[in-house]
Amino acid sequence: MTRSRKLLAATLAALVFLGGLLSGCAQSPSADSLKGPAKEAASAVRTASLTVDLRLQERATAAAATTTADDMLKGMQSATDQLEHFGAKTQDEQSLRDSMLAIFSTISRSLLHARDALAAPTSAPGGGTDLAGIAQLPAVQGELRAATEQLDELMTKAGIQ
Amino acid sequence: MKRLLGVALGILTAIGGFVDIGDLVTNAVVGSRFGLSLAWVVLVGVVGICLFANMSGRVAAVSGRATFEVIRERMGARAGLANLTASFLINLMTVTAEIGGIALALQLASGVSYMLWVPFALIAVWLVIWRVKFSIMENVTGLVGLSLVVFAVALFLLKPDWGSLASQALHPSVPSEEGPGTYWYYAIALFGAAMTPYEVFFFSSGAVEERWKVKDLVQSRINVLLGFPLGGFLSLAIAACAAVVLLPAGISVTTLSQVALPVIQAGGQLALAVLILGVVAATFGAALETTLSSGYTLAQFFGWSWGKFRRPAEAARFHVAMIVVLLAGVAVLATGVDPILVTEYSVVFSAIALPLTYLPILIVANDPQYMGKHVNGRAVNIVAFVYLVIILVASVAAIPLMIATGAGA
Amino acid sequence: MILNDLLGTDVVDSTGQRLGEVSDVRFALDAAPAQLLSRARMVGVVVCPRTATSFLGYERMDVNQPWPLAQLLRWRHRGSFLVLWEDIAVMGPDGVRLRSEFTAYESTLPR
Repeated sequence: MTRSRKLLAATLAALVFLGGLLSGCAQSPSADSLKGPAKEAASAVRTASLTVDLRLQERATAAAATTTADDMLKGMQSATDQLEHFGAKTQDEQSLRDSMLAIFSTISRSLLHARDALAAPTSAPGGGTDLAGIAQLPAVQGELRAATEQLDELMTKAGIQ
Repeated sequence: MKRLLGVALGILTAIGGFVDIGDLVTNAVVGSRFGLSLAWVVLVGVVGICLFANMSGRVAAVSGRATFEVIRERMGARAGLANLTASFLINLMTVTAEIGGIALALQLASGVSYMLWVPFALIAVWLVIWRVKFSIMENVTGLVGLSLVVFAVALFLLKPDWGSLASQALHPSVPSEEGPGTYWYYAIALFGAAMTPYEVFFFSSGAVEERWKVKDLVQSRINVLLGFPLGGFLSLAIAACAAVVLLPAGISVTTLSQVALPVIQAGGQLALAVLILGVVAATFGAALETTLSSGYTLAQFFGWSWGKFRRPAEAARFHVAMIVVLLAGVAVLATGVDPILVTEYSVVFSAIALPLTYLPILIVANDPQYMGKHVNGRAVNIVAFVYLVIILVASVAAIPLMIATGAGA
Repeated sequence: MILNDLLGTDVVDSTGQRLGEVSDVRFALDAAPAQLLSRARMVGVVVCPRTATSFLGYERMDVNQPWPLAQLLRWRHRGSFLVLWEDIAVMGPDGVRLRSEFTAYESTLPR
């Protein structure tokens, strides 16, 4: 091992150490680890809300709107996965995680409804008989808004912002 | 008149060619999370890429050597090989991200999953590299990519509070919800997105492809000095759109579909169509450039004959290398990894690897044996050295910040 | 033996005292003519006490821009010297040993 290699190895080790140190300082477990998934979910549900609005105004195409809804569903899945891997140490953390999981599943359900409504053709050929369609969008919007409110309430209560 | 037309065409392609998936995603992410408080980084990055592209273009035109020939000659085989490995891997990441970008844009247009578009994008990119003339390829993707101006139009249609946007940009501060670590991590990402090294490999190899001579330098300087800053404005418009619509709505960008939302809100379906056209052209152009760049770097390092001015049979290894790169990129996408995630990492790793290409170019641009009387002037050298320091700091700080912030989460 | 085997190996004097590492090998193009240029003749090795990394071209005294970079590289390579081929006793994969009466020449290239 020549001296330059040793220097390189030392530099790398120092970098890794520094990074570890910084990350150690930055992340206290508990509420902070719930912050990431909570924020992801909040962003996903708001995105879906905006998309439904834009679809109602006929600004977004069905393709773009369903793509967005699909993307947000994927986002919720990864947020839920992260949350499920969160090992709660105290009773408080456990109950916080559980109520958050419950809200996450509410959000996922409303996102699914939004996706279905967005994917439906703009005007049904037969008239008002089809249930899943643009006529459903206002109801879906209400569902999304309610889920957003629940999540916001929980986040404020847990002190996540 | 013909000359003027040539200049105009050059500038327009430079604008369209400046923005790629890295700029699109990073600017939108930053705009949705930090408003315009990182706008200064775009400015620093644009000045940097102008400086760097100008130097490498001058080296190529005067000495007839593209970037990796210079690296090989100046750094020797061993250090050069390490450099090649790093540059090549980052290039591969960028190819992957760009192909993913094409596919994601097509999904936005069609609603069909991007995974199904990936093979289509692969074949289209390969066919163009195989068959289409260099200048046509450059001009068409650059000009169509200009439709990304729709971001600037959308910004006007959104009627934002210009005063507050300006004050965000002029008095940068870390937003209350984000930590300083994340702020600086995204500063580095944005810097890497603006200064992607592949643009420089491509620029210098393109100079050799198009047989630039010293007298062409004036035109190339005009293209760079007007085109890249205007491209930078386009980047800022992307960030501003996100800052106006997504930031107040509490949306932080993680997908390409979210990048499109402000444009949809401002201009409806027509604007969306223009946007998708622009994104496809920009990412397609960048996919061509990055694929060619990986061929260039390999061929220039190992001394294979290269270039699109040769027939493919005369540059067989160059073309095979590019096919392998494309297939590798598609293989990465086939694992189901999120292309946006690949993009976010690729811009940061670009920033990390920047000194590897910047330093040799800077050294050779000062070497009278290569450059004769066209060595860097004093003013250029002062700025270039300041940038060397900036680039080194960004490169060293990137990995600790990445670990500390969990890659900006 | 190829150059890569030589670069970075230790250089010792006749008593075994370590002098530094081989950081460059110098050639002159003044031997018998070949197809393109004349054949290269090895003049000697550049020994650097601190680093085996390249001079990156700054061994030429007329190249000194950008100034801070040139200074930094020269400072990093301070104390380097050139040893002629005639003064090398043993050259192998384990390093280079010099003859007892070797001359250390200036390693920079004036012009």
